[in-house]
Amino acid sequence: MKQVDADVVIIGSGVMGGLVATELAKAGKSVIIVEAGPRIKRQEIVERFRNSPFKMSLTNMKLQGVGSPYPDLPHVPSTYGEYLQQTGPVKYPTKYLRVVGGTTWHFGSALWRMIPNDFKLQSLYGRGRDWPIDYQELEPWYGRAERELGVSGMDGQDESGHGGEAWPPRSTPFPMTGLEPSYLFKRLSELLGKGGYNPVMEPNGRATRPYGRRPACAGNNNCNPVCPIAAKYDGSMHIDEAERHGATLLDNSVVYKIEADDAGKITGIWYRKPDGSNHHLTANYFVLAAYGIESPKLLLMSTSARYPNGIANGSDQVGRNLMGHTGISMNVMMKEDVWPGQGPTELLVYLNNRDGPFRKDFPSYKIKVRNTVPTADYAASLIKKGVLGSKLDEELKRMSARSLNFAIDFETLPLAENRIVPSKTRQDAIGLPVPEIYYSVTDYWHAGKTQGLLDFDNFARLLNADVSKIDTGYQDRQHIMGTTIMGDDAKNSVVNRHCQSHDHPNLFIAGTSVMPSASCMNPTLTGAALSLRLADYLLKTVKV
Amino acid sequence: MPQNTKASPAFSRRRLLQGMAVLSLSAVCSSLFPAQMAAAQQSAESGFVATSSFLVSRPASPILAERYYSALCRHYADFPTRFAALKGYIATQNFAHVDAFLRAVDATHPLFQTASLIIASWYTGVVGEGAGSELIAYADAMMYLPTKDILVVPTYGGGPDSWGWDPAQKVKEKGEAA
Repeated sequence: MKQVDADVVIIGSGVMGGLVATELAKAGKSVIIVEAGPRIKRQEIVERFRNSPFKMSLTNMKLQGVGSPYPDLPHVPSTYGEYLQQTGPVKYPTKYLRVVGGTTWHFGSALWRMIPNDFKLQSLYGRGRDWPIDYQELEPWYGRAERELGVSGMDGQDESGHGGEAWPPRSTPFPMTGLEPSYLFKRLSELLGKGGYNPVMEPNGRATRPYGRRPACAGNNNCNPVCPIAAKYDGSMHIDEAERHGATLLDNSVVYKIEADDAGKITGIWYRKPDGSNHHLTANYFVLAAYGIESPKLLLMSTSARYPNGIANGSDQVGRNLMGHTGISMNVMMKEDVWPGQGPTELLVYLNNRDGPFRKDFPSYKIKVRNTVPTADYAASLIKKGVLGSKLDEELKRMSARSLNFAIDFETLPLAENRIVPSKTRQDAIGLPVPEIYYSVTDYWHAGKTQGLLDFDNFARLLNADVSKIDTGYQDRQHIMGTTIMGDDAKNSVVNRHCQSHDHPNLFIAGTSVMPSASCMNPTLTGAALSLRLADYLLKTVKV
Repeated sequence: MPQNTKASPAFSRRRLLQGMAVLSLSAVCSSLFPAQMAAAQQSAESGFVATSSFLVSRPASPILAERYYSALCRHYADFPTRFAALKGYIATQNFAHVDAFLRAVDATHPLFQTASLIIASWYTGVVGEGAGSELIAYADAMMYLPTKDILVVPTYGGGPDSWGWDPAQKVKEKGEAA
């Protein structure tokens, strides 16, 4: 092969790009990772969080653009601002981070496996799509991903939510024991258990003992927006490791075009620096790992006479099938003190409707309880209502101890009309189109909502709590999936079972955008397992 | 946690440092920021610390008082006038507790509104409106005091295995009021 800049160029430095880069660099391959955003330092993000008048919270979503402690730069505008254009009937206001290490910097760190039936949605329930691979194929990679990301979890749980034996099947145990449940979680398990709701503790990326360079979780209750002590996994850890093994990282380098020759081979990429200068890179293989909105946007921007619909888009599926976990929530006031906010920000979930024949009629869903320290929200709202003096302290204490928020995440289906495209009318500061998102939900989602509201009723009754608010306003859960969908048929999918472009054999796509079904669970671990499997395929079969 | 400053040796050292901070801040302010210096002097002379202590029913830090006062003046041009009116009213009434003041004044009255603004500042640690808001204190914001020892101030965690117990039991063991 002719002289190239690297064996492999990876676009995107999040968890997925970082995992692939680490595997390839360890095997002695030359790797260049190209990241649109800057490097960030944990202590600076923590300081910016502490100094900000707006703490990330559920109630001041409107002002989160002001409050995000992550950089908002002209060449990588923050998704907390006006960057994402919404054109559909339902908003999809997802928040991802364009920095070295990616969005896991601020993820809650839920790291679930999907269950076997999630891979066969069409053949079992006549909904959505089947995966071209099954759970057993991915199982060993789930195990490896759990070790790479350092997952703490409770062995032996039935994660299908039925209170039965351990599920899904695992060939390896969790690398770390689970976190201690807070008093709230124990008390809720007791009360809701009486109604047949089976508590499941979330496997997550918070260390429970020193793990690699990470200390144990210290209950800082700040997984989002930033773990102050790096007990929680984030993608920068694998970027650091890839660099220790010789990979090169180019930050502040926004890739805006992928080039292919007439035979379909990807020949190079172009990236733009904040000063407007353009640069070219060549490689034998390319891995696109820029998450579910930037990856398809880049493919669709990469048009030419030979590829008028963009790169990897012979199927016209690039950018389509956008899925998320559109949700609803309920606030209740307990009549006893339970104290949400102790320990990490999330752990307990209910999955009674994760799987079953009902998925023919309504979607799979999980119910989770928020466990963030609520003080700031309550103080502001109480004072606004004129509650001052002794009453203010009393109410702050009562609300903090007794007010709970439950949220439901529904599975959504891959729909061709739900899509992301590069805007034709708006550009960012370096002249690149911003993403435009069309999103909608169907009657299937609404049938799930009806079912979820029944559970909310049951919860309030079992907890002897008063419902203070129910929000059915299509809440976004920031889990982007489906926009470069995987399948065996090149006519209706973007990548094959190896995450390899049907159209361009030397182009691979890593991450949750390849998932053909969303399940109702946080997708990061599935994306990580697929990325590790992809790296193995590159090394052992493609022999990069 | 930063608000755990009860121990006496630390307390006296802290007071000393506070004094030094006031001196150096004054020096810097007078040379570089005459307007801020004037505001700080106004804060001291205005009785903002004493009135704040009354409104929040606990001692108010003079350092923070200075910062809150100048921030309030920056964000609300009429604050000195509003504050003078509130201070004057409180001085004439001899309220034993802020609750008595709150009972005496209607929630729509300007005096109540000014009191609410001052209390909101000390409690939330933030002064100003919407996108123009400004943070004055985080961990020292008074809203965290009523749930202290049960909930953490986010990013100032209690350490590994510092949760899982029943807070009601723990408070009893420590002999503190629930």
